[in-house]
Amino acid sequence: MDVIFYFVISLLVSTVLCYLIFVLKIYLQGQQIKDLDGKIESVGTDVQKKQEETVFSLQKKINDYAVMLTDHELSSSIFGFLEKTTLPNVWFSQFSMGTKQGKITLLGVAESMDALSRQTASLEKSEFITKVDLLGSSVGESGKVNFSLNLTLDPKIFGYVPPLPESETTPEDNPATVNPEENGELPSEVKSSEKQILSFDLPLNPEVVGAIDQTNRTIALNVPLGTDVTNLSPLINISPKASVSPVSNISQNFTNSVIYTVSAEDGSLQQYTATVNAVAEGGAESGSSKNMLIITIGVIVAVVVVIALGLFFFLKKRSKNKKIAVENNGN
Amino acid sequence: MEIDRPIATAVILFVILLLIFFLVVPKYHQFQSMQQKIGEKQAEYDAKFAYYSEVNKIYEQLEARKDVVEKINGAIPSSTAFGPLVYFFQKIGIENGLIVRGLYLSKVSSASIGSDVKEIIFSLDLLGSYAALKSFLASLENSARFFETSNISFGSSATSAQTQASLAAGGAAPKTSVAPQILQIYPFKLEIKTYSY
Repeated sequence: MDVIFYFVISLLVSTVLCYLIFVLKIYLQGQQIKDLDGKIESVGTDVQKKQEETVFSLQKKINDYAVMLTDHELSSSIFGFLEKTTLPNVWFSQFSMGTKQGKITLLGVAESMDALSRQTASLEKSEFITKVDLLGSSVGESGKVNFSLNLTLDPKIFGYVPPLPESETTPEDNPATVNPEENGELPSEVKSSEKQILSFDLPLNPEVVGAIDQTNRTIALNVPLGTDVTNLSPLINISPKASVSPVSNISQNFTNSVIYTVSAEDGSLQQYTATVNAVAEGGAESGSSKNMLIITIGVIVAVVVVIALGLFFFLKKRSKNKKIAVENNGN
Repeated sequence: MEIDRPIATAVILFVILLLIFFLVVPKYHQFQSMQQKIGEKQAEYDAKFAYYSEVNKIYEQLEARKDVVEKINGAIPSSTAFGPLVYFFQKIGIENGLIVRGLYLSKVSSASIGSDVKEIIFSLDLLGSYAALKSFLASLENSARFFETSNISFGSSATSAQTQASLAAGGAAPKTSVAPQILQIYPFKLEIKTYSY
């Protein structure tokens, strides 16, 4: 009966201990949440929000620009096409074009009916004209034929470039001879000053992608708890023509932060500090594993306390009984 | 005073149950929810950090291509200012040998439903040679700002065959008559479309 009584008392103590452990843990969690809130607040600074706004506004402009560029039509190319396809004995006196409708109305004079029919056939054969309608023709007093034509255009006509006769080709027309400096391009001798780490990943399962802060030149990597951070080989992607030290895919000890130095082609340097944090994998899964740990510790503590108290009271009782027995024997 | 141990044991067990039910279990649930909250906050922080890192990366890439960004800004300006446009048409008209006889603002409307881009349409009455018109159109097409010629119409007002011939396409006409044809003056009507925010 004594053993049960002491066990129950120990259980009571353990229960109170468990409660206190939870209170303490909850307090610590509260602190952790406060810290995380502070960290979250510190991420979206005014400067970063301004950068975000700029990026989004430019992204929108770039998208609009891309759409317009795709739809852009070079209407002047029509003239080059007509100059190339008009026969020498045909003249146009009226020109009217609606780019959106893709239609041209032409009024003109042909030397003869034969010239007009050859002109119509020539236009019909062209890949840039989808339809030719001869609206009317009449022989004038001079024997020449007045006509009106309706042309339906293929949209690719707006990209038409008339071929130049070889004699008219000048060095300026040949892109190979264009001086790049005149076009605002850099001469090939100018060395690149690009020296950024573009990506920094750890080939774990699942892969850990480093968060690169280009302003502060820091790289943060969150690996799952229990990962051996003393032997990690990051895969590093850097700016073209730059080099990095220590090189990519070489094992490093990330117990403390590791500094990576990127050298640009022009010799300039930039340092990045890579930090690996071992964190729980997040969500309920990590919560339950931590809980299991706490409960296990609580149970162990409770069992130890129960055994210790039971043993203590048992020995105390035993010594008391012995003392009584000795006193009884003495009497 | 001697305690009745069986009764004390029962009372203590009852107290333990009460403690577990009213104190330990609620705290355990609170602990669990806090743990979940920490996981969520950590994920939120990681996501926010990664997001702003990415934004920063893109921003730096855009900064590195400032010249291209300037070109895009020039192609679609952020304000609908008509003054510079009128000046521009006058300037390139003169540069290419055309006289701007009339310039009318036809329409300002949204380029498409839900778009911030405005479509500005101008009607232009020009006077000059065919070669000058081609040069004028080339200048518009090569301009940093987006211009699209939606309508072109012109014609000879004279009735004689010789005058009509002057409108013949330069490349196709007999070589001997090309020069005088190109110098002939015609009235042109153009509808030009440009964009802004």
